[in-house]
Amino acid sequence: MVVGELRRLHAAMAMSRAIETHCVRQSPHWYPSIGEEAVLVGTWSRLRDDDFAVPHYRGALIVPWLRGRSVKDVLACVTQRRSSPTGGRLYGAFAGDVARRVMPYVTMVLGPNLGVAAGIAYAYRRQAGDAVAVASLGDGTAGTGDFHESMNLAAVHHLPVVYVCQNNQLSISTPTAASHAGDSIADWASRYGMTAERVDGNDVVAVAAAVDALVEHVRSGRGPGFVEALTYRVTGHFGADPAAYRDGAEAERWIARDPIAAAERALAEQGVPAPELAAAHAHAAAQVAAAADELAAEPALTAADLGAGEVYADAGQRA
Amino acid sequence: MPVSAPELRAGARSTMREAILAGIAAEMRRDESVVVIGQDVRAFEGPLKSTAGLWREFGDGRVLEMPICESTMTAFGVGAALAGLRPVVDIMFSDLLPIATTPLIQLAAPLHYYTGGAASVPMVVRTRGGDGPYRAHPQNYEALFAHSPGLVVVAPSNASDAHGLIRSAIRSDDPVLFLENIFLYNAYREPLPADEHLVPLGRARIARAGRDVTVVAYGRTVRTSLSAAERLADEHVEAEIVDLRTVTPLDADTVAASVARTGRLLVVHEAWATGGIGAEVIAHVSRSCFAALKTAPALIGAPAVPVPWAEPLRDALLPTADAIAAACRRLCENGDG
Repeated sequence: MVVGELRRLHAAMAMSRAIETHCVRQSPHWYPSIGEEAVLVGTWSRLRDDDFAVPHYRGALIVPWLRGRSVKDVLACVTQRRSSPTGGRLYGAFAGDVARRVMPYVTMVLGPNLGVAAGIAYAYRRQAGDAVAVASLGDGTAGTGDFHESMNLAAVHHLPVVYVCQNNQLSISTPTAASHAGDSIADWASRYGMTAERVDGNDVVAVAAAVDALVEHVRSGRGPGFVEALTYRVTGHFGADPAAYRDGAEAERWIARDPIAAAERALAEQGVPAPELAAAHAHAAAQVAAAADELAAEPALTAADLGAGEVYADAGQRA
Repeated sequence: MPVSAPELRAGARSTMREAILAGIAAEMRRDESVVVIGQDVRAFEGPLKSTAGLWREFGDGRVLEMPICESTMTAFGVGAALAGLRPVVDIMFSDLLPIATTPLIQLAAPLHYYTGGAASVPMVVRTRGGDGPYRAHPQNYEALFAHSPGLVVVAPSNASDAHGLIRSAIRSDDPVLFLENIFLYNAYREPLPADEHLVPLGRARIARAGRDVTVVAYGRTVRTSLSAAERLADEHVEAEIVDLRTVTPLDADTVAASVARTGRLLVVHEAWATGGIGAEVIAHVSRSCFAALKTAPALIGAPAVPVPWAEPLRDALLPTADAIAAACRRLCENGDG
């Protein structure tokens, strides 16, 4: 990967971390994606704008940003000001951005979005273009019936869809090994007959390369693909969760494998000066702080913003 | 040997099944984005021949065979709808609706509102249920879905309405649950209008005018209520039958206007009375036009008993014309005029 491209990925990971760090400070109930940025950016920065992105909930805010939503509008989904693109109607992390082809996380049930991605892929194929659908999921989601049904559907109909498992090795407190039979989630996917591979999810270059290859495979009509990116949830399930249930030494090993630090070592080896890398973080943090200040000055949503007449698309059907 | 998808012919008499199928086929001819998704919808021609002829006419690309996965196939329909298609998802029978509840009530229904109008879900989920000649698949779950803002729930009572409603449902930008009553499916033939026939969603119909008592019904019980009304007419009691057609959003105006004329209200449905559509209709009338009521409203629905299998037990759940006529007589004994 050329240095300019890696710098672009690094800057996006820095932005993801700045946004998540801000959100987890704002709410102890936030589900942080800190430490999982290589999977997020390695996946979601590799698509065309006409590809439909269906992200897993953890870390999803960066996806609309990668498609051009401003930092302020990203944070407005969280702070629930009147300018929020979702009008405060969806939990901030789940906002999506349908106009930019980013699927919201509408139901808290894990799994239905995998079927949604397959349906999008079917529609895309009907429309005879070469756009694809890409959906990510957690390792926990892989235990659902919807996961297995969607893998089967995508494979049996040769749909242009890529699934990316953001495997952070914990379903809340349960390690993957204690909840999932079989060798790996990628192995499950491969048994459905789709091209599947496992990559180091803390190496943004490796994730990007795997996603690039599979998207091209899928785009050329050769059926669905699957990437399992192995990472680790270095935080609790939510901000205030001390994660006392897990192996501290294991967490320390993964913290030492921080994906942003790894990218910085690679960039340093290629001659990028340390102050320039630090500047990427400072720039991201400054943008987040400025957006947060701007939003704090905006009017909060009130009961008058409920929008009870906006439930149905066809005005004639409104009760 | 598969038949071709039915076309409307002037003067032809259709069953409800044929009328719905002709409506889907007409919309598929009119709009390339309309597709059918379901289990056994190709060579088997759908449960109770619900998709007969569509595969032959429209081919693999527009009639998609699904594995048995009602939940995922409904989510799949949502995705297809978001990406520009107008899917008609065929869920074989109403017994299977509970497993598709998550994508229906937590994904399709709220999506338009949650996205501030950026997304809509032009999807129809059709299924068939209610006690019928095969005595199978008797569940009536409409109240579960009527309770979910963002869904439209349709339950036609006759072939002509069924045809016009399925066409409107396919053209609607909202998700529509379309309930096809098995008792009515093949039992009656009626002429369909030859022209492009659309019945608006969300609008009830006065199936029979009458001055003495309003009977609100939908699906199969409209026909039962009309039979009861004929008997009552011999006794000089004129029942007005309101066919809701769309169960939700409720056409409260048409119901209230009828009650304003008659002053008496009976609601009849095959589904459980507890927490059902009838309770909703009565609550609405009680709130909005209590002063028009000459006597307390009445409700006939299934008792709060799981639907049993043996036919004599099952029969005990069904609203009969006798029961409807008796309830109307009791209402008319109360209140002056």
